[in-house]
Amino acid sequence: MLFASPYRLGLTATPEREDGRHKLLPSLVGPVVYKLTVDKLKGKYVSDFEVKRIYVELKEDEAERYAELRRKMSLYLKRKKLRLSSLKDFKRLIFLASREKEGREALLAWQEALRIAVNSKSKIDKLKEILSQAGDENKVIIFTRDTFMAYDISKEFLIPALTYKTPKEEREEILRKFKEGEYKVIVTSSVLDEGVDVPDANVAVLMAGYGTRRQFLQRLGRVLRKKEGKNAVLIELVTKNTSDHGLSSRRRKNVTV
Amino acid sequence: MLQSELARFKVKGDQVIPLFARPDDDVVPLIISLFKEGRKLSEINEDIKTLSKVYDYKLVKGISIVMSRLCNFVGGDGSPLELRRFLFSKGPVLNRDRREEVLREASEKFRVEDPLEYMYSDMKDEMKVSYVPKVSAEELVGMYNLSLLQTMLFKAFKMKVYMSSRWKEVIRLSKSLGLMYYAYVEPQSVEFIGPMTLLKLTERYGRNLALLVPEVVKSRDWKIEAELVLGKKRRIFNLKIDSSPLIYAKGDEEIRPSFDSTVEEYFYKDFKAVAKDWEVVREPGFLVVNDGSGRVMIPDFLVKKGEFSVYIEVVGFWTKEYLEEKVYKLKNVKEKVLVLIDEDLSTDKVDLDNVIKFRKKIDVTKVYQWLNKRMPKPKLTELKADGEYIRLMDVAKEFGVQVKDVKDVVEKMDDYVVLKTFAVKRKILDGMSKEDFNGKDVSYVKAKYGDFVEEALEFLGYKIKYKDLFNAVISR
Repeated sequence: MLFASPYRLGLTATPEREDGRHKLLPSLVGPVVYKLTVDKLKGKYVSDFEVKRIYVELKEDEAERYAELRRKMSLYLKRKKLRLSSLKDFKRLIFLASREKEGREALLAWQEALRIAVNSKSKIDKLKEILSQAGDENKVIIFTRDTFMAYDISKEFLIPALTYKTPKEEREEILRKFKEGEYKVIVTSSVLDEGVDVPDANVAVLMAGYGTRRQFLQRLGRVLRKKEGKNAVLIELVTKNTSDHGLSSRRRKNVTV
Repeated sequence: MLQSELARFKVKGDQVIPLFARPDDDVVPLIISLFKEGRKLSEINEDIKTLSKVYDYKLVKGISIVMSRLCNFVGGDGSPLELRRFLFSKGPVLNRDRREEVLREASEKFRVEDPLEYMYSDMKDEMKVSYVPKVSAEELVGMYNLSLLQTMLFKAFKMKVYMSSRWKEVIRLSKSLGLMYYAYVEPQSVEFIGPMTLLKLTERYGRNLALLVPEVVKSRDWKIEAELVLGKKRRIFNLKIDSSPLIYAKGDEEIRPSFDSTVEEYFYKDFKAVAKDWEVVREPGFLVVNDGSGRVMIPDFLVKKGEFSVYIEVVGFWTKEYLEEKVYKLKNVKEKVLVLIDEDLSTDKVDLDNVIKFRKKIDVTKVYQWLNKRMPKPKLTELKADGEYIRLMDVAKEFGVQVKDVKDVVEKMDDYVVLKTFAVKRKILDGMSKEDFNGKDVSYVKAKYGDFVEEALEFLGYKIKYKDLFNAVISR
């Protein structure tokens, strides 16, 4: 490779990439020379913060359906000697799905089960509790995994939803009103994860997300802007005994918070 | 037409083979079943996403696009944005009774039955299917395959179509689409210049070329041979497709050319109004080009005046090469052809003798002048003289010759006598010779016979004496 700049220094809050291309970093900018975890910055460079995890259980009907779907999937996986513990296994499942009907059904079952787990109604109930505790003094950003849940929450609590589908002007209007305090709570899918300059908030509620450290840290970063006397909280909602649990621990792996 | 990324094909040597769908592909009924009245677009799209993980992404996406074009969707009326502002100004609402109250208030204020339903109805995803036509897997696949073929041909460098019927319809449509073509009679075929030869207007031209494809496949037997430019290296591949039951051939798709064919309409009307002495015929048939190529020209109009006639062809999109080729062809056509070109439909510049340029609207007077200038003068031998006398100068003007030449011709006519600038019927002159004009006033005689009398009197041996500027007396 040929570079215009002979000496390079990389600086990032989120070295891990979803596409796995962070493996290229050593050859592009060299090895890690300095590492600082976010808890070391607490109170000095970023506001004081606390990460809470709240566990919820699937609703009865959800649990039933979830168990049924998982059974269906495991049966198939067992037959094919797959464990779905790696991306490779997952790709193999997709390949099988394109080949045979059972494979397709297993994949669809997996998808629906995941959707039930991460978007459990219990999380909405829990969110209601959190919001009533938060009261009027706090500014809350709610993060979801997909736009469906964002709009469900928007309709349930009559709060603005910000997704990639929100028109530009409306997006600006919502952010402005949130900044000015007219809106205290907004809900968003992954559109606010990176890049956009989001006004200050002190409570982040992670309804659901991906199993990536990157997304987790980006979302945490949304409430960390330093302000005198501020105490930021990140609350992660996790559905017990489901794949949501695995996603939660994966995203916090090697993150000292 | 689909986005070019969705084109499915494989390459074999220098051949490119479109991967047409088959009605027995499992995914086809699955896609049809997704479109049900009342379903939200977002729900459908979510299912499409899942299907495209399992089946070929391009196939699923392509067929879904074709299917969704057949359906109608509703939503997005009124001002859901205002409703949202209202609801959000009350939020977050955590109490069930309070929520009911806010929603009731919104329902009254915005006159909607269900504010939650209406809240995001302006989002494309929230639009709902309102109508699904009955469509079989065969039909849907046929339409998809037609779209795929159109998508491929969008990359055409050139395209030749052969057909057993509908040759004229294809040509008529290509003219109204403004396409650049060469037509052949034997066998009936049309060769088109592809969008990839154009530097600009490629998109517009390509769209129009694609619109022609449904008309071609309606023929019982057809064949398309095209050269496509594909890939980053822009290599040329050959595409050969024969008529296939897999390609939808009913084609009720409405054709809206982005080339304005009302230009011809206006020209027809204007020309009739301005050039009243000319006759105009529309679609006068084709002209054979005698250069051994087997090509024909298909002009739009034939204008006639007496024995003189000119064909007029209005060209849509054009390039310099295309026009030069056309003008070259004109040399091998017996008939006279005038070509009219829209300057806005090319980036090239040309200046050719048989070509008149226009912008948006054809300037009929320019055409009229062009025609009159080229209208041949009749031959003097065809001169049919009648009337008591002829002013030689007028005849010379009319025939575009010298007065001397006219004299030569008229002298050979027995019933006329040639004087200095007039020729007079012998009968008249004979009658005058029997009369005695001595002493008479010239103006009096002129009034009786005509302007030629002075010359005639001198011819008969009289002399004319001028008394003043206006009065002269005849004497022997």
